[in-house]
Amino acid sequence: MAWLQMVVATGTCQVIISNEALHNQVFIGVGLEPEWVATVGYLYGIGKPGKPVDFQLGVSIKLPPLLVAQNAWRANLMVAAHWRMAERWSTQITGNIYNAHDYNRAGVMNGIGFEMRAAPAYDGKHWRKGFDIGWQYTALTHIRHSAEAKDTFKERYAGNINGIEGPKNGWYGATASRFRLGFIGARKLGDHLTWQLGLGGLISVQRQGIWLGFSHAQVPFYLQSTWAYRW
Amino acid sequence: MYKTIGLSLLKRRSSTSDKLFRYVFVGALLTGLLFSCQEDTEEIGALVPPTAEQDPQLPQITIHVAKHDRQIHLQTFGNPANPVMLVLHGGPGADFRLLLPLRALSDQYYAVMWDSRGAGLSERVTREELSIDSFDEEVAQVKAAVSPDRKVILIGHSFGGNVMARYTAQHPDEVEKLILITPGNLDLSTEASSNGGAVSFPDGQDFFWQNEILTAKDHASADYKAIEVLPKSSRNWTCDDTIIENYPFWRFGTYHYYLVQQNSYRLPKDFNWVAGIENFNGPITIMTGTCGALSEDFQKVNVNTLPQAALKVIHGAGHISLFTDFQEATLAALRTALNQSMP
Repeated sequence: MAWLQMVVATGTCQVIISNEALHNQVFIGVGLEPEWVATVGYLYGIGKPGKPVDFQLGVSIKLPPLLVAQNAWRANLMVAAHWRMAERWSTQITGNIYNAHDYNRAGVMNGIGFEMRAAPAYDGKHWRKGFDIGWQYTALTHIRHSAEAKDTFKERYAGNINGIEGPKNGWYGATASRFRLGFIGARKLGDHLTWQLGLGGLISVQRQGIWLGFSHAQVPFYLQSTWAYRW
Repeated sequence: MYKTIGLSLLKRRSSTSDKLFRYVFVGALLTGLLFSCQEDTEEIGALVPPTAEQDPQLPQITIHVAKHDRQIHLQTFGNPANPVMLVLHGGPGADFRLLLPLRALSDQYYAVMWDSRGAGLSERVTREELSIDSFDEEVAQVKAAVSPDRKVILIGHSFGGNVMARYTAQHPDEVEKLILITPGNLDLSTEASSNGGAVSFPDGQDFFWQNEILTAKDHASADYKAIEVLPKSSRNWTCDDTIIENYPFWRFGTYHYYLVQQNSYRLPKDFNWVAGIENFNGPITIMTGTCGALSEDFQKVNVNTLPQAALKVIHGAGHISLFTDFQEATLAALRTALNQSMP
């Protein structure tokens, strides 16, 4: 099974599992989270190969294709570790620090966060199959509110009362938290090319405990397809 | 003190191997400084306007509904001696800012507008408090607060129209006139449906992308996210499938919307909002436009449910534009309906 590889297609953290030495890898992915997303990235193997744990460093960018015109993107710095646990079992552990951006009717948002992923996987005869477990946390977000957001504070008081003003531009803490649990399967398409499919749940943590509700942007499913080329 | 400790630690650990410690220490200090400057999304006025219990200066009253005391955003216009007119918004989850043009009627009426519990600028509520029956209780409590001894005129828009119609059916002796502006289906057995307020997949892209940065983790965050998506829900209220840019609102109650939607799905298929309204002898008017969802064709089904209702159509208007671009025509039609005497 030395030839069988896997790309942990997360749209953000992406890693190859392999028993071979890793040097260079580029990958491209498309998915629904449930918005359309596309990811492209590069990973470089570091350290001597063949140890129980191999390491890679890389960068990637994630774009929602229908929102590119409004400057929506996410850039990632990635660290990945491939841990060979047994002959047919291994786990990919990836971490990345990201900067995500959006510009919409409410304002301009710029978030800084991190995402941790783990993908324990088993080498099958034709497919490599595994789980995709992850946590994403946007620790700090700067928001500059739009005129529309500011307008929501107008006309609230009777008479000439100067009440509570807002909204407030600035840094906000702990603005996003999401968990992911899914299944992934990867198949080699040639000497250098691997394809992977991922499917699972992507759930935002929120106080009222809504697991599925459009009003809370909670449509907790994702589907991703990723191609990786390495040399 | 912390600064002193930090400097002494930096001086004492001078070996090369401890350089990493210095970097970590300085990094921790900078991170701590950064986090100390951050705001909480739930801080009052940070993202969205505060609700009534958070802002004593908002016009408000306290009502007791579904076993809870809740402060609701309520504003009155006009002379209390005039006939009382209760006005309820739709959504569910919206607020009465869209309906503010109706305050022009305060020259002849005592207009009372409020945001439903959990919606707009009213106090947020729990899951148990937003049953369909609780809205009947809410209208009764508002009436008791502003007009305990006199009959009232009820005006409801959209879902608020359904609520007002049900109150009238259940309390016919408390109501003088009923005016429904583009209400939803009043008799579910007719199976009339609309896609009003639906958001298309392309329009919903940013609503989901925001989850990279801002998730609906609390009421304020969830309501703030609505600023982006709510105007996009206005497309199918129009004739030409365009977004209504001047859609006025203060704060959308996303949790309220979620709960009422959930409860509406659980209603029996033959649920009739106006069961018992034959005991009401006052005039009923249904007003609508000709554009988009819940417009003229849809309201003809509601008129079949309420044969005593007069249908007033404002040509070219839609569910939202009745109160924006067509507000003069709407006000004129309302004055006509308000002057209508017993059938």
